[in-house]
Amino acid sequence: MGIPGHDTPEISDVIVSFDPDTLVRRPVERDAARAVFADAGDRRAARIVARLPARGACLDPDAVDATLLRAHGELQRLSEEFQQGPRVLSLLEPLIAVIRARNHGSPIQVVDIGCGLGFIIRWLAASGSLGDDVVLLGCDFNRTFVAQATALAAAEHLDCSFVVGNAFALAEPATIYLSTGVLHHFRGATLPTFFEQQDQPGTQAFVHYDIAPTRLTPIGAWVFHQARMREPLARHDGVASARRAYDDATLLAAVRTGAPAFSALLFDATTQRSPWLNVMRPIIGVRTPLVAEFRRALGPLARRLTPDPPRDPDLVARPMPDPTATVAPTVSGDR
Amino acid sequence: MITATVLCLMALADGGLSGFRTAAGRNAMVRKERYYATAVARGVGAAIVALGVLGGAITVALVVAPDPAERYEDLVAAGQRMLLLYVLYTFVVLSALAGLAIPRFEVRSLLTSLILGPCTLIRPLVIMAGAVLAGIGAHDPTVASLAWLAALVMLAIEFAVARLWYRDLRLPAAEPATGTIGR
Repeated sequence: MGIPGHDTPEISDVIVSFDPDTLVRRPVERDAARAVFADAGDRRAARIVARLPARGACLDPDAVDATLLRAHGELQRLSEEFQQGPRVLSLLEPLIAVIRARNHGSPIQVVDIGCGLGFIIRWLAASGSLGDDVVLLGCDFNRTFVAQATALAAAEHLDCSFVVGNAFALAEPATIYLSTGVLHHFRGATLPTFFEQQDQPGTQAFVHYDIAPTRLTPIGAWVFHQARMREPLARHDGVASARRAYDDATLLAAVRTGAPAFSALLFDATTQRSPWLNVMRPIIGVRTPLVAEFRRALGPLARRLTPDPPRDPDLVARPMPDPTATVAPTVSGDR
Repeated sequence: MITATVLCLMALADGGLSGFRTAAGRNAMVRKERYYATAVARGVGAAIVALGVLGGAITVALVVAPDPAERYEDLVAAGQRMLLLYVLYTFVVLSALAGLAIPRFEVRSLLTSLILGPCTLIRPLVIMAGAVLAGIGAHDPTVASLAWLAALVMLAIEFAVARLWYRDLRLPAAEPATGTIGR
């Protein structure tokens, strides 16, 4: 599998870079990118980076985007197989019902952070299940992804849109933030900061899916990425992301630190469900006054939420990740 | 004849699934039933070509055999040994595929993670193991060679379908993304 450490970055984190203020894409030197992995002992990733085309000393951004698009096409296939659309919908429907009851007819904006090719937003639009008052929007830093997501939505006449940019700088903040496969890209102190940024006026909840780390996760990720992926970058990053995924306690602690106005809930916590059933599981944040209604709206599914407040003292006492470790989270979601 | 018929039906089913797998991950649309139906048809078509190649090779092998009846018997016995393994594998895969009809997304996801994904990974090994089984009991080296030819043409289907029709991700023409929301 060739991934030496839990915090070895993913290739997709290293081969693209955006100015955090202007969101303009910055050139990435191929040798520097390769050295990141060589220094970390990840020779396979270093070889993959070394094979990427360059213009002069820097990676060719068109070739990088083409590689990332192929990888995201394959990742969409995994999302389809693991029923990610229905999974998200099963939580969004009760959440939206609760918010709608208090919203007095205002639109409910659902924003997918790091949407990539926008599969989840497009799937939700295609399902037609959420109602006419729900606005579906995908955000990503990568212009190529946003352009393709927009074109894909137009080709299927789907009522959703995509924008280049920071999901937390929208003129109209999200009512509900979503993401899939994004959380593990936020390392160290940037994880609670990510949740803190969601505490915006008008934001009522967030639902962030990421890989559920269990003892079987690395081998399961390897099996699936060998069986289903062709793009070497996708195979590498799929396994790397499984190793970097946060455990339940870390996610709960990060929400409680970063966004204390939200009740932190896990659906299908890794300790409660078989790892075979639990490929992806979400951390959910709900404005505390809405939690009881959300549980009622979930019906029998509410049994699969973690208790709130947590009864496991470890979940409260758990320290946050090293705050000095900060990897800039400028990547697209990878599920 | 039953052995040959069952093996051919399995080859057609495997060809169809190879077509599906090759096409999967190369079209980012949400609704793509027709796309997948076309891919399955292409895979079945490729399997028919593969069976044609194999049938031609078997015919030649029988025509030039010193004792065609004995070689035919040997071929049938080899096919039956292949079936021992392939029937088990096919039963597991088809059962899982049938299970996908259950309208519960968690069941579908479970079938994928427990059965379909791992079965895809071991498919080349299963195909080659069948050829090994066929060759182990064969009295005639030509029969063992034909078993390996059968394995190779089946393994080639996915590669051929990918080369012919599904080399890259299909995306609609896109306008450059405009509008940026800065920090």
